[in-house]
Amino acid sequence: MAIAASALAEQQVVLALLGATGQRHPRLVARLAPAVEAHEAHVAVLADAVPEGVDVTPSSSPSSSPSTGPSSSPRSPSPSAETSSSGAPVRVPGRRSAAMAAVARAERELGTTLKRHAFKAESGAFARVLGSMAAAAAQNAAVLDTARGARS
Amino acid sequence: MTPLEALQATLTGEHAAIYVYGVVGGRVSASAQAELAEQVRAAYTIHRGRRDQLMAMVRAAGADPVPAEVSYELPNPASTSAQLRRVAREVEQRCAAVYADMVGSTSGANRQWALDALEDTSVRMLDLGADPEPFPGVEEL
Repeated sequence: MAIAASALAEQQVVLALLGATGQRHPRLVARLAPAVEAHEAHVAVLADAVPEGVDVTPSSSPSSSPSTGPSSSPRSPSPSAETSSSGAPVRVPGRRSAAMAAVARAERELGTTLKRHAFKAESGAFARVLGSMAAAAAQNAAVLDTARGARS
Repeated sequence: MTPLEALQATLTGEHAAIYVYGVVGGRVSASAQAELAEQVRAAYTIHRGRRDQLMAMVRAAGADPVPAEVSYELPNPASTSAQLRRVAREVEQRCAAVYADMVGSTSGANRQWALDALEDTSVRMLDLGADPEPFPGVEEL
């Protein structure tokens, strides 16, 4: 299913960004943890929906992604599955506030994309799950947004 | 669930939400609990707007909108800020489940409406003290 494969790849891009952000800014790991947990749950559901053999650059085979996260993240001590799934380099801002803003922006964009997938999905059951994932991304964006974070 | 049944189920949820927010609003002090009062007022307005939109959507589908019940049971005998906030959170959580079901049972503009409502209510929950969750509105996951 094209939508599932696309959503899976997009989820993995955000997971890679979250992983790289946590590596560059260890003090953010705790705040990022709920988002990481949510996207890992999303990936598990989407992986079940993607037929075998469809290329979604799985995180379990880093060799399939020539340009990986850790290479653009100088303080990363070791390769991580979380940062190897994206085809594009993962750039993490050096300032924590900017890094958080980048993650919040990525969550917001993912939410918008997932809503678009949900709108188009032929299966109502799958649309419901995609819509829920979009809502989760919107929650993550709200929580990680620095302005709101300052309040909590 | 047919698309029309989904619209009516969502409308039923809005009737309940409006009732509960009305009761909660009456118990919140606008001066002593200003932030909560504002959240409740905003949510009440949003759900009334959604109710009106859903009634129009049901009529556009050629049916009569389900009426509101005379009263609804409150989740708890709330009086403190924490209790009232929890009631409001539970309203939004129940609405999220109804919106998610509506996403699954509709298409086109009505599905888009449900997607937007699910997103809004999921973020609103956070302001009422909920933690983010992997699958808002989808209990079995």
